[in-house]
Amino acid sequence: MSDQQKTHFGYREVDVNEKAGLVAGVFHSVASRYDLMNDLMSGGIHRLWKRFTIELSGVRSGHSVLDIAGGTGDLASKFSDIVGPEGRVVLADINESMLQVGRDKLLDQGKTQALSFAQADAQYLPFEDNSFDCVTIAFGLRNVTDKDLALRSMLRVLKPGGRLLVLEFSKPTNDLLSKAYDAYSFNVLPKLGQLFAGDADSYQYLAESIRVHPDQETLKEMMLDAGFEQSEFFNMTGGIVALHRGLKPW
Amino acid sequence: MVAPSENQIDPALQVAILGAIETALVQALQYAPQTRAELNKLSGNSIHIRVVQPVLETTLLLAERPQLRSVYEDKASASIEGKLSDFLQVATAEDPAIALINGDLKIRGDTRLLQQVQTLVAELDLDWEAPISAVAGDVIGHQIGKGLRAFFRWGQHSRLALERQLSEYIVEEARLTPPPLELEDFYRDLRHLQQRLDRCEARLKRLKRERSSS
Repeated sequence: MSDQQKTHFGYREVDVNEKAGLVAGVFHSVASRYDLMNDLMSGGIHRLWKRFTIELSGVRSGHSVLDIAGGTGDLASKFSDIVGPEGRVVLADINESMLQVGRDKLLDQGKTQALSFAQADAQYLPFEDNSFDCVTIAFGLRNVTDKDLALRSMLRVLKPGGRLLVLEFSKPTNDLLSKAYDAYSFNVLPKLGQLFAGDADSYQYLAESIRVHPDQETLKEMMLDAGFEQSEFFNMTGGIVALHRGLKPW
Repeated sequence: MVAPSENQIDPALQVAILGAIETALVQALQYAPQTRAELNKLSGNSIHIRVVQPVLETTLLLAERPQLRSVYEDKASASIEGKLSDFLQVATAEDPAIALINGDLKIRGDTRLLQQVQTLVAELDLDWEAPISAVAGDVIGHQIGKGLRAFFRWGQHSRLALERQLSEYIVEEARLTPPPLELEDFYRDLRHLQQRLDRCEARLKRLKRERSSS
């Protein structure tokens, strides 16, 4: 299959058809310890990044929200409180294990109101056109095989004037921070993964996938190319993470 | 509309600071049922607070469980802006309501709402007994609560007495600053001297004119 199109899986080049299966393997492996690892790896800061995302979403009572790659449901849980019984929150994830963990966690929290779950591929969202006020994808876009296709799919399901929020690892703005961050990602992260999740490879992939993900300006341009307007980004924790926001034109 | 601006501190840090303040506020309000009820009456109102040095922006959403938002895109009911020192000046003023109106803080929107909130803060009365009773039981909780209330009352009286005595010592004993009446006398004399000088100057000008014309 030498004419097969290639894409990144961390630093490796793999066939386009292969990537989804490889990513699925990573998340099947880490699903049960995903929340613990997030807290350990970020020192709990991921909660602040998510809180800022919720504030910037402008979501209010009665809105409909789609949380793609929603994983263990951190954002969906908060959104369901905000939209209330009149609203709708869909927690979508391509990975069955992650969705299962997320659904169990939210049910344990008693969060059933306005919440539904969907196993869905971000590139081919199984929802009607113009059906959501807000679409979020937190730490998921870099795992998607064709990001342009996924962004266009998100634009399609958004209502005119609706907003997309992409929370994703990005490029640190300070050289010194960048070096410290690299050392942490490639030396500490896989060891933490091995110690607490019994899986160093998945966390090696995490570090690599962040490095090959488009930087702030590139992702902003990709959103504009996909048809979003007023695309902008906000660097957090020195650019380690960036939150991109774009609006669907009226 | 309040969207994060370029020169603002890192959003993650800002969210952390505001989250910590909000949590402390909500926890404290658990033990102030009266204030909570009053806040509930103000539900739906919001106050945009902007500190310019250092830059920190937030919107306080008033409710029984108030929220501090770093991003709020609706129009706030009232807004207040100024340097951190101006905010501190109002907070520590003898009459914060007057300091709020006459100080350097820029106020827009519903001023009455700001005064209502300021009164609520001034009259905040925490029920210390409730959290202690939950841990130590009702009887011990009541005793410790009584002790704490007495201690805070004593602390408040001691602070006022200390302020009064310190100011008396500085003015009367050490004579580091003149008393207000002496200062007023001095300013009055200074005013008179200024008036005499003005008159003298006018007289000199008149004499000069007369001499040159003759």
